[in-house]
Amino acid sequence: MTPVWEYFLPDYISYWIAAGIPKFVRIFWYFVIFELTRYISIDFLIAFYFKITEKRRSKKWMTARNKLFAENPLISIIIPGKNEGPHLFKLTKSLAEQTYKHFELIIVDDGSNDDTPTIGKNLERLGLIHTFLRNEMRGGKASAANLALRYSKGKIVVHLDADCSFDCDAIENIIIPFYMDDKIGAVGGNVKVRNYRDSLCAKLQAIEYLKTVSIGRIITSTLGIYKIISGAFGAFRMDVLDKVGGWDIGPGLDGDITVKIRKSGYKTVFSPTAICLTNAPSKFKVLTKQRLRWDKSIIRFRVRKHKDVYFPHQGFSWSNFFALFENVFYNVVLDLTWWIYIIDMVLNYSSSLDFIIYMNLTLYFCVGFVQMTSIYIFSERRKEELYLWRYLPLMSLYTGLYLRFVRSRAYIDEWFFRKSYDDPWNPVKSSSQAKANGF
Amino acid sequence: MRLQNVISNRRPEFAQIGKYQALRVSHQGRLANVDPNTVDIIIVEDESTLKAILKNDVLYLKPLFYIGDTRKECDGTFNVDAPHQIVSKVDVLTKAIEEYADLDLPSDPSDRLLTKVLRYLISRKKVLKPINTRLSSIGYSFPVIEDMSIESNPLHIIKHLNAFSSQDYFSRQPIDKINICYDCNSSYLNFSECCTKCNSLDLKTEELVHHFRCAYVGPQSDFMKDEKLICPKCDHQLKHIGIDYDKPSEIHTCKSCNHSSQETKMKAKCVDCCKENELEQLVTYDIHEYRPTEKAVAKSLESTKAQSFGIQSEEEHDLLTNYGAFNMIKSHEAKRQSIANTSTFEMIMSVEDKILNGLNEGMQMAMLQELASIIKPYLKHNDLIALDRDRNINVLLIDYTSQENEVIQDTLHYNLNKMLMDNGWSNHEIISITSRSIKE
Repeated sequence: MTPVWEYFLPDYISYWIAAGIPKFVRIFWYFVIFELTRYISIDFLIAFYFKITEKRRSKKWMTARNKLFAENPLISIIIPGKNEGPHLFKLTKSLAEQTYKHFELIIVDDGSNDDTPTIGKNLERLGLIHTFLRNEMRGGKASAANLALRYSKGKIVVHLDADCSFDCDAIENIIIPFYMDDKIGAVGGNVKVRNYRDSLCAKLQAIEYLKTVSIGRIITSTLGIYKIISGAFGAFRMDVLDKVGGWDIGPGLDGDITVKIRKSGYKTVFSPTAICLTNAPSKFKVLTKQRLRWDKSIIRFRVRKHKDVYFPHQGFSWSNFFALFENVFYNVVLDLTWWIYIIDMVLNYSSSLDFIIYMNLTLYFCVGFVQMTSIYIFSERRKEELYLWRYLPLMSLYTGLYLRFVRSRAYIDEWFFRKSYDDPWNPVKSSSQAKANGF
Repeated sequence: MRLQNVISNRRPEFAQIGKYQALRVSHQGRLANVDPNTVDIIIVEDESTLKAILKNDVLYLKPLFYIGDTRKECDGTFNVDAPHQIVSKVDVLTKAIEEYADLDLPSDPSDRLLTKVLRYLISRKKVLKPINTRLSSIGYSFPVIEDMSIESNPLHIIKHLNAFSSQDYFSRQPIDKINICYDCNSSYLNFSECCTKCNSLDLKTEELVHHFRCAYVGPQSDFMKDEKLICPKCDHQLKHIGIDYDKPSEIHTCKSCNHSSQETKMKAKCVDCCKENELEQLVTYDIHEYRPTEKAVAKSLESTKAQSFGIQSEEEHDLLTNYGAFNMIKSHEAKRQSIANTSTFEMIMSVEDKILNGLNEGMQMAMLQELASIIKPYLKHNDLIALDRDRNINVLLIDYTSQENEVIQDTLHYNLNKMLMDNGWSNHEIISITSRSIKE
C-alpha cells in the first residue's frame, strides 16, 4: 500500500503553489482577517509595549503597594456557594498564607444539602471564618453574594469561588491596582487551571485559559476594554458595589457586574500577577453544560440587557462600546461568519476541500505555537506550562470545532428560546421574576 | 399507758400499739437515753428528729413513722385516728430487721455508711431513688444516705454511691443528667444567648429577606419603609411572600460590637455565685437510682470487718503517700545514699496555675490524683508519690541512675502534656517537671 504522503503531498504542494497568494487569501479570508489580526499581531504588539514600559509600570506598582500597606485597609473576602463545604478548610489554609493579612472572610451557604452547614459553623467557631451565613432556602448565587456584601465591612470586596487556591501574594496583587488609579472600580484576577494533568479535557481548557484569560485579558485590559471579572477571583471597591446595587440574577453575573461597573464610569482592569488556580471540568459532558451556560449569558446580558451601550445616549462611552462590541463580535458575529465561511467553502471549493482542510489545520497548528510563544513571554509559570505544549495540535479541533458547536447551540437556544431562564443553576423563583421583568 | 398519749403532745412518750412498744420522739435531744431494746416503733413529727434517727447507729433500722406528709425516708405516715394501720407493716419490718440484730457495724466510716444504707434498703425492699428538691444545690437529694452520712454535699454522696456501684453493691439506672457551675457546683443556672465575639447579651435578631427580582438580600429592617417592605436596591414594594420574596433565614446582630452572625453563644450564669460559665465549662453529672445487688445482700449480713470501701479504692490509697511521711522517707533516703552509694531523685511536677485555678478544689484534687495514677505505671514498685500544699506532685525515684531519671522525666513530660493537649485542656504544654538528686 502506498503511503499517503507519496501521492497526496506532491499534489497538495502543487495545488497551493498554483493557487498563489490572492487565491490563498480568498480561501482563508476568515483566518487572515480575524484570527491572524486578533490573536497574533495584537498579542506581540502588547508584549512589545509591556517590555518597553516595564520599568515605569514596576515603579508605579511599587508606589501603589507602599500606599496599600501604609493604609492597610480591611478587605472583605466573600465566598457564596452551594455544597462547597468540602473545599472550605483548604481555602482557609490557602488564605492564611496570604501576604496581605487584614481581611475578614465571609462565607454564604446558599441552601446546601450536604455537610456544608456543619463544616462552616465549625470553622466559624474555630475562628477560621469570620462570618458564616446560611440561607435555608436556595436563592441563587447573586443573592448569596449580595447577602455577603450586606455584612461586609471592608473597603474592598474580593469575590472568590470556594474550590480555588491562591498564590500567597494573590490578594495583595489584586488590590494594589486600586491604589494606582482612583477611577478603578474593579480588578480581575488571573485564573488558571489547577487540575490540568487530570484529563485531556482539562489540559485543553488549561491552554484555552492561558490564551483567553491570562493573555486575552492582559490585552483587553491594556486596551481599556476589559469586560469580564471572573467570579472565581475578582476584587471590587465597596462604594462602587453599593452604587451599582451588587450582583443581579445570573447566570453570567460576573460579566454583568463588570459591565454595570464600567457603565457607572469606573475602570476595570486585569491583574495578571494575582494568580488563582481552579479546577476545570474534567469531562466534556460537564464542560459542555458549563459553556452552554456561559455562552447564553453573552446574548442575555451583552446583547439584550446592556444593549444601551451600543447606542448614543447621555452616558455613552466608546470604551464600553468597544468592550462589548469586541466581545459580541468575536463570539457571536464570528461564530455566525464561520458557518458562512464553511458554506462558502463547500459551495465554491468542494473539489479542493481535502487540501483546504489540511491547510486550515496546518495554519491553526502554526498559529497555536506562535500564540503559545506569546503566552511564554508573559507567563510566570513557564516551566510548568511547557508540559501543555505537546497538546497544542489538538487545540484547533477543540476551539475550532468543539467550542464553536457549543457556542452556536447556546446562541440559538438563548436567542430564540431564552433558555438561560430555565437553567437550574438559578432557582425557579428568581429566574421567573428575572424573565417576567426582562432582566 | 394509753395510746392517746402517743399521739398527743402530752407525756409519757411511750405507748403500746398492738404488741409493739411505740416511742414518740418530739425532739432529737431525747434520743440520747433511748434503750433500743425497749422500743419497737419510732414515731416522729419533725425532719431534724427523723434525720437524727437515721444517723443513729442503733435506732436507724427501727420501723419509723412520721406524723404529717409522707416522706421517703420513713416507713409511712402515722395516722393518729387509726394507729393500728401500721401494725401489719411493722410485722414485716420487724421480721426483716431481726437478721441484723446481732450484727455490728464496721468501724471504717465509709464501710459503716455502706452497711447502714444496705441494711436499711434491703430490710425495706427499697431502691435508693434521688428526689427533685430546690433545697439541694444540684436539684436532687438522696434520701436515707444523705441522712445517714456525715457529708452534706450531694456531689460527695454521688461519689460515694458511684464508688459503691463500682464495687458491685449497687446496680444503677440513669434517670437524669445535670450540669453544674464549675466554680460552686450549683445547678441553678440561667441560660442566655450572647454575641459570639464580645459576649454581650444585647442582640438584635432579624429575619433575612430575599427579593427575587433583583437578588438583594438583607435584614428586614433594610426593607421597612412606612410600614411597608420596599427593596432598598430597586425600590420595588414586596407584596407577596413566595412570589416576590422569601425569608431564607435569620441573623443576630450585636448592638455592642456590631458583629453579625447566625450563631449565638450560650452562656450559663450561676444563680448562686453569679459566675458566667461557658457551656463547655459546665460539669456534667449523671443522676442514677441505685438498686442493691446480690453482693449487697451478702455485705449487709457481714459482721464487723476492717475493710475500707469509699471514694478511694485500695489502689488509690496506695497511690499517694502522705506528704509528711514522704519528706521523712526522703531524708532517710538521702542519708542512705551517702552510705550505700546509690542515687535517688526527687521529681516535682507542676500543673500550670491558670489551669488549676480554673477548677474548684474538688476538681483540682481529682485532676492531680488522676495524674498520679497515670504516672504510677511508669515508676518502680518502691517509688513514692505525694501531693504538697502548693499542688505539686512530688515523686521519689529510689535507686535510679541519672540516665534513667532523665528518660523518665522526658517521657512523662512528653506523654502527659500530649495527653492533656489531645484532650483539649490547652494548646500548649501545661505541665512542667523538674528533677534533682536528693544526695545530702
